[in-house]
Amino acid sequence: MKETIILGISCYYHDSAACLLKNGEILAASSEERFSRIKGDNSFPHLAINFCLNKANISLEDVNYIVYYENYLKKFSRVMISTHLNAPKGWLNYIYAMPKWINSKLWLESKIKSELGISKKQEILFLEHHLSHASSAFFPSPFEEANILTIDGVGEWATTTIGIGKKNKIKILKEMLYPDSIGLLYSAFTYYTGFKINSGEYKLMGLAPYGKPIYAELIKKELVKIFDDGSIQLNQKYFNYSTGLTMTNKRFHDLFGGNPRKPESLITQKEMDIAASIQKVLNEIMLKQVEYTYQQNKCDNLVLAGGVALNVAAIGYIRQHSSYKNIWIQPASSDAGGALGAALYIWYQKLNSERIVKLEDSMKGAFLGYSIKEEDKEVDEIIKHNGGVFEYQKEEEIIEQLAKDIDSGKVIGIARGEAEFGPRALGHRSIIADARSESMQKKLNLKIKFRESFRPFAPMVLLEDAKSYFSMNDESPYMLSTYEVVEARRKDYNRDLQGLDLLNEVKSDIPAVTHVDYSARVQTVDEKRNPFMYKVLKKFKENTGCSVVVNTSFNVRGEPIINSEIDAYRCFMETDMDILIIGNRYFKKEEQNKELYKENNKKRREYKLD
Amino acid sequence: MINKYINSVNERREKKEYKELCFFGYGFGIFICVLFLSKYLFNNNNLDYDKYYKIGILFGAFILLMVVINPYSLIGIKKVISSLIYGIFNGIFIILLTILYYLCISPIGWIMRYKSKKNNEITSNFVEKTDEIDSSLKISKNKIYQVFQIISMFFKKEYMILLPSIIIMVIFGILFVFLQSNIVAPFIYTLF
Repeated sequence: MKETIILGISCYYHDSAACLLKNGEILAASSEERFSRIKGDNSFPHLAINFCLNKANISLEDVNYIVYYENYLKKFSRVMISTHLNAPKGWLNYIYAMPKWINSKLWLESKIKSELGISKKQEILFLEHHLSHASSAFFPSPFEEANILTIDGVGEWATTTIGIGKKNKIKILKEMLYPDSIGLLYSAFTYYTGFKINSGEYKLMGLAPYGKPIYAELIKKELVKIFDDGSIQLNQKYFNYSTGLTMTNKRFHDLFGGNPRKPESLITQKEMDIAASIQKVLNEIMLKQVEYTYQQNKCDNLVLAGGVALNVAAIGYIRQHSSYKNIWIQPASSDAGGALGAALYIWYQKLNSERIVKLEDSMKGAFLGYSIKEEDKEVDEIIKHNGGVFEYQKEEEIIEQLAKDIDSGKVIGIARGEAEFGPRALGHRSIIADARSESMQKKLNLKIKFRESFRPFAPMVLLEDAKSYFSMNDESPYMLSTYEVVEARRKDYNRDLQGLDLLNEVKSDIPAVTHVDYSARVQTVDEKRNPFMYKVLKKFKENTGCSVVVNTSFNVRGEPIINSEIDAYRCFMETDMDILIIGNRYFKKEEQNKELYKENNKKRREYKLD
Repeated sequence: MINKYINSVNERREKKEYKELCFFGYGFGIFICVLFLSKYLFNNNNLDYDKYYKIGILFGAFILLMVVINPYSLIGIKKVISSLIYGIFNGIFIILLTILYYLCISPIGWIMRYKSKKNNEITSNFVEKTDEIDSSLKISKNKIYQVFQIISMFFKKEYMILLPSIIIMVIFGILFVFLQSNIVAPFIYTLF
């Protein structure tokens, strides 16, 4: 059978990525940031493409189709029309955006060809932004048929789309158009509360449980009109994204009683209440939309993608309250996943290939990135050259040792196997620690990750034990939904406390992963997808009776998640981590060169804000 | 096979940089030589300036020599002059865009807003997806044809009223892209 190779690309906005399909099988996918080490890198994904081609052991000439995740001409039409509709207010926006469009974005096809070094005659395909998201949600899902909902900031015109997927075809039925956008509404509040747009949204989400939704009614009254079907209309008088270079304007600031919080300044109860309020509004909008899709087509399965689908709190709310029996979310839901969706669309919809639905989905556990081998002499030399001291151990020995280390309160960095595609670390590029420790959340935030103390950590739990810890009936292998800690494990705490004072309270018998509202962003671990972590958790359970550990991404603030062996070692030496596992290599911090540690330790001050 | 792709990308980048430096070096060197040589040859009034003209000619010749010996030594000079010229071009471009914005886009925008006053009685903000999906897959290979594609898209969207500003902008764009292209750029530098 002749092989069909498809290369999907997303770039130039945020989260550049590349993905390679071989006869419909996802061979490789990675964000450019993992290789370039620039967080949210939006440049052309040369390094990610190089990785994909190497993994498939092919060259660019072997690729049959190259597909880009957006239609830039349609996007240009949106930019032009909204420029006209907003004139003369949007001069600044126009002056800022137009030179970029005229100089490069409008000639994107030529630019991509020139970057790839391919002939001008070779064809590049362009898919619509939300269609790429919809494809990435449906085609790898474990469903033969499903309703599709994609929600993000904005693509070409669409900000939200509703569709249906059946076998190897998808169809978009309805869409909501710019400037009415749920993603942009949430980003406006991200901006107002002093976090960075496109990366700080999850901080706002993490802050919400500390506050009370006292502004929710005000938001609904003044800012957003919510229709019964979940579509919305934003009151543009309060927003600045169509006409200026900020998200909100003075009228918005006056409505909430002051200017936006300055980044890195003190977070007050006001920001927490705003976060809680917008989260409540978002939950309401998303639930209405989800129910509307169900009314349109009474199917038990729903798939979601787009940046807003990464709001785990809203997803948790939908899981609890919607009519759907099964919900599946693309683990790389942001624009990076667009590369995957675009490639899948070509394989199934354009080439009309048969779709074989897999019980556990086709994402291979999202382990599609750069692979760290268990043993590699070349890498050993490089690590040693960088001052690394380690010993090789058998896998069983490492598992045994790790279970003991977690129990003794050590913080462990793990870099094994293929890197995850998407924003979550699922055990191949993770930092793990004891979830039973009362001080672990603070320790990890301040000494390992160097980030805000309020941010919660996620639990990693054995699939078979998940129900005994969390109120859940399904699996959650990609950490894309929140679930509540079961009543039996909760502990009463002083409810009179407010804001960040709640942090110090012990909320359950797994306090390091229990948020102040008893929620947790759970990752279930099964033997098929993640055998190594499964064995570690099993052993840990054997030793302690507990099958939950803290799992957080292996990186420090402002940096992308680590990718290679060297990234792992460098990050290990720049933080207070105690143990590091790279492949089958076991590193102890006390055995490393202390001078090197001190030197690297100073670099903490250099981390960029995220 | 390992890193074949990335090696070819780096190779192309290096070639491009080399080509640009050579063009810049020759263009700038010849311009300096010609400028000061003409000044020197046609200067009858003040002979005191002759030594400066000679230095200028020598500087031009030095630039040309550097291109032959090692074009990469001109990176610094190229950066300074390029950013200067780019700044001037950008400034002119922004002024042109501003004129276009207030004289063309604003009045058209006003007409569009007037025509499309929103109905406040709507019960949903979802619209039917009408575009044929597969039509979005192909975009033409030819730049000029792409311009027609852009224009035709505005026809389809019933926004023909936008055409004047689109056409003017696309003309600006073509000029801008053309003037920035590798072949022409070094000679534009010499114009200043």
